[in-house]
Amino acid sequence: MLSELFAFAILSWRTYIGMPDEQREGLQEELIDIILRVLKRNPQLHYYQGYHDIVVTFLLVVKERLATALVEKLSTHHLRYF
Amino acid sequence: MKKMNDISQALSVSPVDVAALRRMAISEGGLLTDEIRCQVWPRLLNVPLHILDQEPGTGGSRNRHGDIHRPQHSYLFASGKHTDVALHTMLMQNLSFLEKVDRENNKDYNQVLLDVQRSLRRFPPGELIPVQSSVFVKSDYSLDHTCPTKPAFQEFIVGLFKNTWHYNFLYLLLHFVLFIHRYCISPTISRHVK
Repeated sequence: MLSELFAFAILSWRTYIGMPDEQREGLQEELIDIILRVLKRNPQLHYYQGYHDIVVTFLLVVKERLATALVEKLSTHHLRYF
Repeated sequence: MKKMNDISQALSVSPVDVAALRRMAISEGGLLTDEIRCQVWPRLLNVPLHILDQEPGTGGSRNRHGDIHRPQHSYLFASGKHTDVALHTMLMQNLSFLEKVDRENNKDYNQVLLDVQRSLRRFPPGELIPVQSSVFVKSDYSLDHTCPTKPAFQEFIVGLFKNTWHYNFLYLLLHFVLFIHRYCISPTISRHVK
């Protein structure tokens, strides 16, 4: 009971001390742009919950431009259609 | 260190040894650092790195007149055999590679926005390395084998929260100390102050 409370406190602390707000919001904007762009260019694809988790993995490592290309390739060739 | 050498060797071969890279990516520890991932991911997905990694503005992305730029040109002719059609057309329309999509009339925008706003935990503090910081979420993984002290410490911390009897004991001890303080120490202190 208490241990769960501690674990929860630490998890929320981790959420609380994320990256600075401006940087995070900038990345979130880029994230939305990437997803919408890929969906617009490939009308056969549909958005599903959790897709943004895939995209953010790329966005945190490479810049927006390359991330778009990688995600588009991944979505059209490797992920299952939905 | 050995793995780093293996990866750089697989990258330096021409053509790049994609099978070896894939094997290393799924082996223990993954691709080690973000610098390596930047190099390897485009190879794994067969995306031409030298074209797409340009800064926007220096490439063809902001050109309104539809001129074909030299980099695109060289891409189209250099690796004509291996291009696939989707990427090909995408590069031809390089004008709109980083276009802003109209959000208001987009049917997916609301759902995407909700999901993105809820994804705070995916943006870790400091350097952009989400691997180490996710230890509490996936405590089964020991990710870093280059430094043997770290996983042991992490397991110790995680175990601290799993074995509850430590905490029950500490809980009782704390309350015992508080009890003593409340009924034995603080009355004495306040008496002295008065």
